[in-house]
Amino acid sequence: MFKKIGQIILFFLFILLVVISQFSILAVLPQFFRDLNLLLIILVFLLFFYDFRSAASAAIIGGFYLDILFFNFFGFYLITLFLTVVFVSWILRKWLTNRSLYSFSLLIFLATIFYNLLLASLSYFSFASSKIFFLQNSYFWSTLIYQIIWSEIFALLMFNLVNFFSRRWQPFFLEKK
Amino acid sequence: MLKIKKNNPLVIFSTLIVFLIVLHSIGLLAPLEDFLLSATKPLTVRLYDWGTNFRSSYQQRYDRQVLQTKVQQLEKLVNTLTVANSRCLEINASNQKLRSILKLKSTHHFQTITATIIAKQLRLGNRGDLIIDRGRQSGLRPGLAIINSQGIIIGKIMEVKNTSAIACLSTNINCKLAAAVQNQTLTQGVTSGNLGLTIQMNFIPQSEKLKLGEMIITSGLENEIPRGLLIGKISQIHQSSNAVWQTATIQPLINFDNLTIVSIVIPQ
Repeated sequence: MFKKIGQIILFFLFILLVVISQFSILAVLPQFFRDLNLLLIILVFLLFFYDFRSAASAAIIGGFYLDILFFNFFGFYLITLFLTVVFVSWILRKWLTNRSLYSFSLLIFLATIFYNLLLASLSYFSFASSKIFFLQNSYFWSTLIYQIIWSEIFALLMFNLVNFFSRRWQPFFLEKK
Repeated sequence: MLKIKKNNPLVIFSTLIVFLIVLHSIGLLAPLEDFLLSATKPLTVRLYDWGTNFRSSYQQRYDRQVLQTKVQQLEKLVNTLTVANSRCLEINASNQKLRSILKLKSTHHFQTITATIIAKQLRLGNRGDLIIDRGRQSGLRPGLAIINSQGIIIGKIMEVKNTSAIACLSTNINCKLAAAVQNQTLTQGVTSGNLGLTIQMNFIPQSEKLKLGEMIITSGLENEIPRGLLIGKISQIHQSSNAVWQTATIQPLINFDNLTIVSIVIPQ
């Protein structure tokens, strides 16, 4: 029981560290580097290599902390991250047949697009701070492209690293229930 | 009829999110939120500092020739400013004497509170709003000016929480400041950010004569922002005979990416 509690605490601290790294280190780097969305990659990783519960828990922990730190309406990041996990989980169950590098890359790609579209939509309709609709904003597209590039690079690195260190995450076929 | 399983994780987590939102709305989560922010503040400050230093070192890769040219330009500027500063000191001394003779009170009354930047909230088309580690408990309120160590205005506070606040940079489109040109006619206008890189001064009457290099300061027309805080200098003037107003592009005097510690101006 204590081992379980310890694991939960470590998991909680790990997600907090990822979130803090995201907005404290990455957010101050030049544009190309700051568009790495570490939290999103971790969520997809947890969903892909573990299960929906782990990814959803991470989304709630990360989303809660982001909501209390930032000045959007409370629930902004909770809802966005959770819906992204739900969407990616649906894609994984309905459309993918195996757990390989290609399916992981595809999930990261789709998750990045879905997350950014959802975030920009919520931001635009709740704040309307920009006079230009976000789809017409070139900054939105450049951020999205950089995020996709970074996410795919990280997906490649992470996938090969975990396969190198553990047999547990070797590619296998998903069984349809 | 749609059947939902008892232990469906989707339902459980959705309920949890709604529960958290409701608890936050009624204020029950406030102690936990404050604790979480306070507990992680030392780490966020340290990591933000590290990130800023990394960015500064990344930007400092210049060619030798470019550096030499920059040094020469800065040396000339230092000489000019030394002369101007000397004149200012003389004028200030005379001003003080006259004020004491006429028994006038000093026009500048404000305190400052020092704060550390802990995060940046990135928004589309903006350089990013700064989140600082001071909030309502430290006496902050929306509309207060934020300055750097040299007294140059960086932006203003938009919202406050108990132990943190968010400030928009003067280069952000949503950050509007009542400004004045340091010229003979003290031309008034309103500044706002332009693409997160420069500042635009708008609503300048066509009849006003502007010069490149003139300094822009806060005009003091806003309740919470005193007069005289430096915003930037004019780098371009846009005048069109068809337009009602003329505009000026203002170049900020500091690099906003290297900020880690700021001061908030509390007017008395």
